[in-house]
Amino acid sequence: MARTPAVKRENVPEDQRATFDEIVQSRGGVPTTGPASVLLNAPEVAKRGLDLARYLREDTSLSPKIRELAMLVTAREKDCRFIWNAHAAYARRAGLRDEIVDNLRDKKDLPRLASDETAVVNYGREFFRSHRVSQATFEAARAQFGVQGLTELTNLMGCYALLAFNVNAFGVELPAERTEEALPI
Amino acid sequence: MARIPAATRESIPQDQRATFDEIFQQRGGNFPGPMSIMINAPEVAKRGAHLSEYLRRGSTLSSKIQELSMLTTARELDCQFIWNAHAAAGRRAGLRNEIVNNLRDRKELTGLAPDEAAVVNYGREFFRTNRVSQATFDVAAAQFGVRGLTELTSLMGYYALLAFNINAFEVGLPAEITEQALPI
Repeated sequence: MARTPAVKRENVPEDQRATFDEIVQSRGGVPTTGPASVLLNAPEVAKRGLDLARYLREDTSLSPKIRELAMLVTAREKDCRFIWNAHAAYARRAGLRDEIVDNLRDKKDLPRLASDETAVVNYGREFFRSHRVSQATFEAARAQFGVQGLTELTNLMGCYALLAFNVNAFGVELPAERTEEALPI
Repeated sequence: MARIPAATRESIPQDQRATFDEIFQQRGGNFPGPMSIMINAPEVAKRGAHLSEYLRRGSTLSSKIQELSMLTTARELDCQFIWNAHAAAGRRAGLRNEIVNNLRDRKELTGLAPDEAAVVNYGREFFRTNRVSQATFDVAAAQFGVRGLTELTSLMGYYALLAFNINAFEVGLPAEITEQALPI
C-alpha cells in the first residue's frame, strides 16, 4: 500500500473538482498507482504536470529510443522502480538492446553503445551525480541532439525526476502484473 | 555567458514559432534564468511555466515554506542561480537570516520551526538518498496535509528541473547581486 489512500473526490478542494473529474474521466477512473495517483491530491498539479510529461514523452524531436533511454537513466539514478518498470519494456521495443537495458538495471558496465546512447547516459549520470555537466559531455550531447533536442532531453529527465520524487516519497507500489525484473535498489 | 547563445525567433523550429511568439508577448521578450534555456523548445517553456504558475500562486503552502523549499533544492543541487533569485525573497517571507545563511554555508541549522524542519528534512532526504523515511514523511504530511505535501513535492521537483537546465547550460548569475553567492 502506498503511504496515502487513493484520492477521493470529496477530499480535493472544491475549486479543483472540475479538474479532478476531467482527469478521472480521461483515465477511466481514479488512478491508484503511478505518479498520477499522488499528483491527483492537487488536481491542478496533476493536470499541468502530466501535460508537461506527456509532451516530453510523446511529442519532442527526440527519437523514441532516446526518450525511453532518458527515462530509464533517470529511473536508475533516482532508484525509481515504478518508472523503471513502466518503461523497460517500451525501451526494448523502441530498439534499445536487451543487454543495455539489463546492465543499466543491474548497475553493470554498459556494453558498447551507439554515440547517441552514450550521450544520453553520460549527460544524465553527470547531472544527477554531480549536479553539473562537463563541457565535453555537454558538447557531445549538443552535437547529437541540437539545442532544441538537448533542451527537450534536459526537461524530460528533469520531469521524470520530479515524477520519481512523487512516486518514491509517497511509496507508490508497482502494479501487480508485470513482465520486467524489478530494479535492484 | 551561458553555453549557448540566446534563442531568437529564427533559431526556433518553424512549427513552434507561434508558441514562441505567444510567450514572447506575455513576457515582453524577457527570458530570465531557466526560461532562457527552456524557450529553445517553446512548448516545453509554455507547459513548464503553466505548472510553475500553479505551484507558486495556487498552492496552499505559505510563501515562507515555498521559499524555503526552493532554497533547500538550490542548496542540494548546487544551483547558484536559484539560490540568488530566492535568498532575499526567503528573508522577506520571514525566514530568519541565520537559517538562510547557515543553509547557504552548509552549517548546522538550529531552532527551526516545525514546518521549516519538515521541509528541510523532506528535501534533503529525497535529494540525498532518493527516498524519504516514514517518520519524515509523516511529519511533513502532518504539517502540510496530503494536498500540501503533494504541492511541496512537485515544487521541489520542479525547481530541481530548473536547476538541471541552469547548471547543465551554465546560465550565469545576473550582473547585480545583493546576496552572497552559494559556495559550491
